[in-house]
Amino acid sequence: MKKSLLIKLHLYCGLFTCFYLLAFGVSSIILNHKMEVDNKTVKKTWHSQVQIDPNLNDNELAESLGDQLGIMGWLPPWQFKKDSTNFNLQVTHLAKTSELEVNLISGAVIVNEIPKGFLATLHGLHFFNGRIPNAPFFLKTWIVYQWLALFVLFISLVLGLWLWLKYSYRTWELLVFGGLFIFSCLIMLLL
Amino acid sequence: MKIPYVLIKKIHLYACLSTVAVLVMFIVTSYLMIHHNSFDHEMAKVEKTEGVNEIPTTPHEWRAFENQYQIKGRLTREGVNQDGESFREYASAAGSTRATFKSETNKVVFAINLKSKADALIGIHRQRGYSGAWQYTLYALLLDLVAVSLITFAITGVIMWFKLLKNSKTAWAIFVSGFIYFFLTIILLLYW
Repeated sequence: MKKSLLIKLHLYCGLFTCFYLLAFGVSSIILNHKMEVDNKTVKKTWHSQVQIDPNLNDNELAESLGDQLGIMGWLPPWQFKKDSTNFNLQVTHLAKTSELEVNLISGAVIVNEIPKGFLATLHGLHFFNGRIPNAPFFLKTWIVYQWLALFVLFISLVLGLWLWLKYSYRTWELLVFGGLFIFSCLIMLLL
Repeated sequence: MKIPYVLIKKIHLYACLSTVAVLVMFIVTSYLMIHHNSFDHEMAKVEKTEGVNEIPTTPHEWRAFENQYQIKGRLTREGVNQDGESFREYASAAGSTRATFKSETNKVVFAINLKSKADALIGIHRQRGYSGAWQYTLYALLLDLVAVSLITFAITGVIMWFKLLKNSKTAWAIFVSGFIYFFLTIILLLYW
């Protein structure tokens, strides 16, 4: 294959993954330094009305509430707080947490929205696999993008290394970076 | 200030070369995580009891204790359980150890969990932070290097494209569609 074609292929692969790489770079720093990036304040409160089926258990009731209100997110059972008249729960995903206060008798719901912010969302993409209850179809395609991005990143890496080894490497570079490669592998084996 | 193309190319190359090993590990382990159900996740559990005169107190004594019983990993949790017994938990990429001190009988019980090969590899991916023995600190340093490199070679790669092939329609199509897809995902997450 011609050198110019390989460079183009490497470039196309790189352009496809560049935003994914930027997000992962930022996220890796946040993770490694255990930074707290989530916003914790309520930014919006709204009211609604829902149907309460008394025969449902807590999990089913929470799912029914999420569906009726059309709120996207997971329903962590450890956040459920229920008594005879009220049911408090959270609906959460990587970009937003919604706190629900449900009156079990009247069906009145108060929703407090806590958007986590841009940086937290960017960071959350690190763990995102496209599967969130009540998410629009577009978000479900993330798993395809993620898989493709990894595949393309690997191709880009192999092509870049091939181009370097075939056309431009210097002995000192090979020794230094080859040594760093072996050293990194040894460190990972010791973890 | 105009940065010469050759310098940008070198930065792009060295940013990548310095992190190849960790990047390859991330790509392989991400594949393992995405295809979670295709791999074995059976954990082997071992329990053993040893005699201990007294619970260590100083960092030096703890290090000696960890060396004596060959405890792998770094300290993740310590405290007192419901029975009033002190415990310490250690985790490594390959598994975890919980040491529970039975002070009445001068014994320490080690509950050891050993992960499958796939989970042990994923365990490397999940290591983070500057704590524990020297290899963990070095790995955390490598992680920071990888993070900065990811950002650097993404930015330098785009700059090189502008300098080399900015008239390529295919390149523009890939770049713009990647941008739209990525930021539309973030906007949907933020405002849906």
